[in-house]
Amino acid sequence: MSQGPRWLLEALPTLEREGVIDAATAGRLRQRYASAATAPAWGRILSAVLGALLMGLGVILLLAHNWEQWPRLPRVLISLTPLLLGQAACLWAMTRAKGDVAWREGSASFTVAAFAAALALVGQLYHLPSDLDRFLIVCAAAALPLAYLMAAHSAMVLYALLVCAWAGVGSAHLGWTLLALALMLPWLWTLHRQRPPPFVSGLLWTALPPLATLAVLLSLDAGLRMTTLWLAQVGALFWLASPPDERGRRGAPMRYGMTMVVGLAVAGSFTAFWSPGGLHSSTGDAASWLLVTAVMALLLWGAQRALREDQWLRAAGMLPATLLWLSLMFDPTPYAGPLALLCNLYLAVLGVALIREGIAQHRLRLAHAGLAILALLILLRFLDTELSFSARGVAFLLVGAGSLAFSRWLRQQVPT
Amino acid sequence: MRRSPPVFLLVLFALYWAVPLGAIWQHQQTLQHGSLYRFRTAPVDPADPFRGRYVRLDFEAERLALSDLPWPKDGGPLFAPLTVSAEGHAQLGTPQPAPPVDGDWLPVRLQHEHDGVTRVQLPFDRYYLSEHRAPEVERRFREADLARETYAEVRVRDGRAVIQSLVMPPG
Repeated sequence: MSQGPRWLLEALPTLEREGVIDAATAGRLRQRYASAATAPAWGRILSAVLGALLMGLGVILLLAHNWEQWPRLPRVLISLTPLLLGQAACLWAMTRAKGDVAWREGSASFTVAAFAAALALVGQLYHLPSDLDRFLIVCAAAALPLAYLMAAHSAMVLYALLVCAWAGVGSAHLGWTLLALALMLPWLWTLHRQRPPPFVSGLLWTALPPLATLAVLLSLDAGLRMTTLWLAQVGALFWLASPPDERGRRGAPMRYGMTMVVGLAVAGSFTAFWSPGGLHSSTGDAASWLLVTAVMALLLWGAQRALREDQWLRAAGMLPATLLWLSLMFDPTPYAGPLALLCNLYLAVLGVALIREGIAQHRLRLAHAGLAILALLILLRFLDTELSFSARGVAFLLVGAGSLAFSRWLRQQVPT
Repeated sequence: MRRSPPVFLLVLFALYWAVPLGAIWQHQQTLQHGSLYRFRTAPVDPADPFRGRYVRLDFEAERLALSDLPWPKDGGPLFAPLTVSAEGHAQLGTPQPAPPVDGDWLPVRLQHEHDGVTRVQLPFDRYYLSEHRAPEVERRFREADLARETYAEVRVRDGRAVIQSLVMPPG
C-alpha cells in the first residue's frame, strides 16, 4: 500500500471528485508534495544495498570454506546459483518493480558480489594461482555496464572501489587507472545534468566545512594522534550543533557530524587503533595544543548544557573526541582492549538509540542510519574474529537477511 | 536517469555467465584430456580472502640447474618442455622463447638465478582444501618429513595445466 505523500497524491482525484477539496486546493497539494513523493527513500536504499552486500559476502565466505568432499558439479551449481538469483532479482527490479530504487540498488550490488563469488569459486575448483589484479578488474568490468544499464548507484560505487583496489594492488599503469576512472564521467555528467543545480548557499555550506577541516588538518602537522583528535572534535562540534535526533531542518552539518563521529568510533572499535603504532605519538606545537584544548573546552561546555536539558544523545557525540583527548594525556596501550570495547558498546547503543528515535519521530532515514551502524558493527566484528569461513558466512547471511527484514518492519512501523 | 531496455541487460547477463563457464570448460578439458605428470612438492598453508584456505606448493621442478637463460625483456614467459625422471616425477627441460613443436610443455617465468641454479615459476602454485584440512596437511608434512613422498598430480594439455590432486602418504 502507498504511504505518505504518494498516498495523498493518489487520493487527490477521489477527494476532488467527492467534493472534499476543490481543484485549486488539489493543485496546491499536488505541487506541494510532488517532489516528496518522488524523492528516493535513501534509508531503505542504504539498507537494501547493505543487506545485499552482507548476503553476498556471506555467500563468498561459505564458498571459501571449500566443500571439497562434494563432487565438482554440485559445487559448481551451488556457487553459480547466487549469480542466477541476483540476475533474476535485477530483471524483476527492471520489469515488475520499476521505479523501486531499493530493489534496483540492492539487486545490482548483490549481482556484482555473486559474480565475484562465482569467479573466486572457479579459481578454487581448479586450484588456479592468485591473480588478484585480474580478478578485481574483471569484477569492475562486470559492475560498470550493470551500473549504466540499471542506473544503479551502488554498482557504480562498487566499480569505483574495485578500480581503486585494482590500482592499489600495484600492477595497474597510471594511464589505465585514469581511463577506468574516466569511464565514470558519463555517469557523473548525467547526474549533474539531471539534478537541479543547488543553491549557492547550500553549495557553500556543503563544501566549506570539509575544506576548512582539511586545511586545518594539513596545517596542524602534529602527528596522527592529534589530527585524529581534530577530526573527532570537528565531528563532535557538528553533532552538538545539529544532532541526528533534532527535529526540524537537518542538512549537511548533521551528516558531517554523524559521519565523523561514527567513523572515529568505528576506528576506535579496533584494539589495534589504541596499540603502539595504531596512533603515532604527537609532537604538536603550542598553537596546535591551544586549538585542540580550546575546542575540547567548548565541547565540554556544550555537552554539559545538553545533559542539563536531558539531551543525552546530543552530548554523546563527544565520546570519541574525549577518548582521543585522554589518549594524548596518557599512553592508551595498556587499556587498548577496554577502549575498543567501549567504542563497540558506544556504537551499539548509538545504533539502537537512533532506531528508537527514528521510530518515535517517524523518521525512517534516522532509523535506517541506526540499523546501518548496527549492521556495520556486526560485520566488522565478524571480519576480525578467528571464526571459520563457514560460521562467518552463515552469520553474514543471517545479518544481511535480518537487516532487510528489520528494514521492512521499520517501513511498516514508520509512516513516511 | 533513462532506463535501458532489458534486452541489453540480458546480453550483459549472458556475458557474465560466459566468464566463469568459459574458464570451467577450459580447465575441465585439460583435466579430462591432459597428460598426467607428478610434481614433487612441499605444501605450506596460507589463506585467500575470497577462495579460502589452500596449501602453497613449492615444487622441486622449479629449480633448474641451468644458467645464462634468455631472460625476456618484457618479463613474459618462456616455454619449458616436460619430461619424466627415472623416479617417475615431472621435470622441466631448458626453457625456450617459443613452445616446442612436439611433446608437452608449460609456460614458466624466470624468477632469479643463483650459483648456477635458476628458479622458475610454474603456472600453478596452490591446492585449495577445506579450512580444517589445509593446516592439518601442512602439519603432517612438517612433522613427518614427507618431502620425498609428496607430489601433485597435474594434467597438462596445450601448455595449460590443472592440478588434479595432491598426494601424500597416509598418516
